[in-house]
Amino acid sequence: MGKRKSVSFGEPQVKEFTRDEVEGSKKEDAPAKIRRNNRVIENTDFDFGTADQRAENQNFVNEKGTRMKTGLHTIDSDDEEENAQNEKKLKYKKLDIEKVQGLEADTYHDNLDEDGNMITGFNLKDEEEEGEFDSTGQFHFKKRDDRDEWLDTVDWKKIKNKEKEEESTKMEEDAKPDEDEKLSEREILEKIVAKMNPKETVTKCLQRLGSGASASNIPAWKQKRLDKLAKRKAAAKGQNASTSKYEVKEEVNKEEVAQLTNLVDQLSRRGYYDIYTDTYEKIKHKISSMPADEDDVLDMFGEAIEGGKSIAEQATAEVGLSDSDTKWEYKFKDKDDDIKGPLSTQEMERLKDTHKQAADIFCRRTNSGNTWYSIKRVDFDLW
Amino acid sequence: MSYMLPHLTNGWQVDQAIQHEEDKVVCVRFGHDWDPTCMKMDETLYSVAEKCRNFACFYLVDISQVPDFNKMYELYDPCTCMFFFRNKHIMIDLGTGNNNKINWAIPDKQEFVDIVETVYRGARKGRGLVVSPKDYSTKYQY
Repeated sequence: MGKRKSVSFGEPQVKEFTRDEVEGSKKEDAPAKIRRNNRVIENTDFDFGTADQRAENQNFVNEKGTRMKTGLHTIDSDDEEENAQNEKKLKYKKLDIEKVQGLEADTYHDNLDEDGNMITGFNLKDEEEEGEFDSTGQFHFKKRDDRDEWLDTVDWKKIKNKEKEEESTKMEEDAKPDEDEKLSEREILEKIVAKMNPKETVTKCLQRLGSGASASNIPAWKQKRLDKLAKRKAAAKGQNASTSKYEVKEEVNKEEVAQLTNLVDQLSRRGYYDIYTDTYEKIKHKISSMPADEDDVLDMFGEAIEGGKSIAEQATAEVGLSDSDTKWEYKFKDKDDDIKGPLSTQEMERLKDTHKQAADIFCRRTNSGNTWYSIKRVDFDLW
Repeated sequence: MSYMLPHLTNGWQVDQAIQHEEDKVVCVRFGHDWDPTCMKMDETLYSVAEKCRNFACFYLVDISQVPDFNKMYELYDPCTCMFFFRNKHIMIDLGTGNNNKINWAIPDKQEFVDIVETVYRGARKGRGLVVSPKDYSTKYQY
């Protein structure tokens, strides 16, 4: 509930919930990026705080963002724990192996038991190689030294910059999707119909366009004969450029097929799975039966929001009213038949301010039904 | 007519519906589908929903199923209608003394459309309180 919750009914003014605020808070909560495995650790602060502090953090997120549970994970990963330990460099007293009682010397390699297995000596030599014991007997592994010559030569800053660049270019690409993607269903259908012939289905249309384009599928000998025929025809007509024309046409066809498949693909992605079997007439009918372009309406809204004022007009157009030509009718309380007007909004406002018995005047917008409202209560500022 | 309007079945949905509507008034009817008052109101809501679709959307919330808001919004009446715009509660001076909500059924469609439109126009101009064109105080109840 966030902001709304904090506002009780008693207060008339409610602080508006701005988008920037929300985003701002989100940015703050985003965890810092840490590269662990290749040892570039930028944020070495692994202080996660106590459980209470963590809970507080969580509340902070919830208050600003949503009411739902977000925030930190409840289970810390082992990886983090290990790192935290390394960073803190826990100090401990090293155990003096000399003082440990009951250690045996290393057994000899030829010291085998009855079955021929080697017996390991009862001592801590192997362990000493891998790490060390502290005074309480706790074993600590040595820091693994996995330095890598090549890895040390890598310039991580450069890579990071490049990553950022790539991300930003990707974002830009995402921001402006293909022009075709923006097309509404109606527009797509219209484009498809433009490519089709009457009584044709989309599949047949594709075949027709494709047959031209896929001339190379024709056996070579047939192709040769066709070319010869075309040449002879052209010669008969006195033209000699027909072969190149033929090729140009082929190109155009290929392009058209690509466009058509693209359009059809877009439609099927939007749920028009039977588009391939739809005929020219069916699609035409579909177009004509689409009342208004939904996407268009949205687009108009989008522009209108930027434009400012026109959105109200857009919205009220549906109700049959628009700001610019709102006209008002009015009458006096006791004279039901005597309807005056129409007046503009400004004139009505003047009437409301100047008339002595404003309470007795009733008004309504023209074409807005039969309900009469007291002029005193109507807020003409809004129209 | 309650079955024709979208129901919100938990607090999260109600929150989301109110928060994520950027340029429409969100009208929420709190009550029960079986309640006679709500039935009347739902009838009105349903019949104006299409007319107002460009500047308002309507949701129904069962206050037994979603009791989260009962305390905050003081939902003790059989039927309560509240208006929100961009996550902000819009108050209406209805002449009743309670500017927070409409807690009775409005059977007149035109009246209700006018209220919703006034709320929309007022809210768009940044008003937190709009004046309903009709005074619903008892002196006008014939």
